[in-house]
Amino acid sequence: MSQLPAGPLVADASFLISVAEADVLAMRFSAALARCSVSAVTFGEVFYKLEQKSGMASESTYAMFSGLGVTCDPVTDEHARLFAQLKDIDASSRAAHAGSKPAKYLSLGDIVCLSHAMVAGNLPVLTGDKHWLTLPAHGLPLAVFDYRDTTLVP
Amino acid sequence: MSNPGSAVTTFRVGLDAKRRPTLPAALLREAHIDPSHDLIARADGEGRIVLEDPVAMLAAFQSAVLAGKAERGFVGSLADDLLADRAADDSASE
Repeated sequence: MSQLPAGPLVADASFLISVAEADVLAMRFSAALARCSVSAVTFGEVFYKLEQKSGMASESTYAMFSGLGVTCDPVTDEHARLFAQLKDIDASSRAAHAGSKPAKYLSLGDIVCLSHAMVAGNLPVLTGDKHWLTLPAHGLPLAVFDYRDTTLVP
Repeated sequence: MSNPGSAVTTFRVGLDAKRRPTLPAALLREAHIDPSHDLIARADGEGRIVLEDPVAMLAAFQSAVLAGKAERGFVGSLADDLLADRAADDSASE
């Protein structure tokens, strides 16, 4: 049994999208939304997916999450300078899990979200991407929490 | 705007020196708003401010998302759909 830490968090797009579609496992952490920040790129992933697959206008999605206290930060060169480090961590994790199918790579969306958490002060990250859970063992200086983990409590 | 013929109770709300409103208990009861909740405020055009219970606002948003998914015939998790998009994004792969 683990517990989501108190204080500021970084939300991955997967978590926000799951909240938007009333996913029961994500809704356990809805009170934490007021402590969450996202990068502008991560917010963009939420916006396009909800608009593409449910017709929800990005302005409405932005108004909803910002109303619930989610804050949005820009992506800068400070984040970009972490991309190479994150790719190295990803490669190390992949080498350790060689033979696993399918091989997982960090996408640009993944890298931007993780770099945002690092720049924000190595904040804990809440995601539904299980690949991210392998990264702290390979040098990622972040605590990664899976909102779909039924042993994780708010 | 109310529907023609429907009865709407209106309340005059004063602001104190720091622009803080005092919402009448009857107004909160009529809107089924828990007075212990913070509310979300937004401007809604000229001369209009809307106050919403965040729980009710999120529920309405979720209903609209689920209805939109159904209209488009999308079955499954949008979060998983995003993760699949990311997995297919090889722009950062080696």
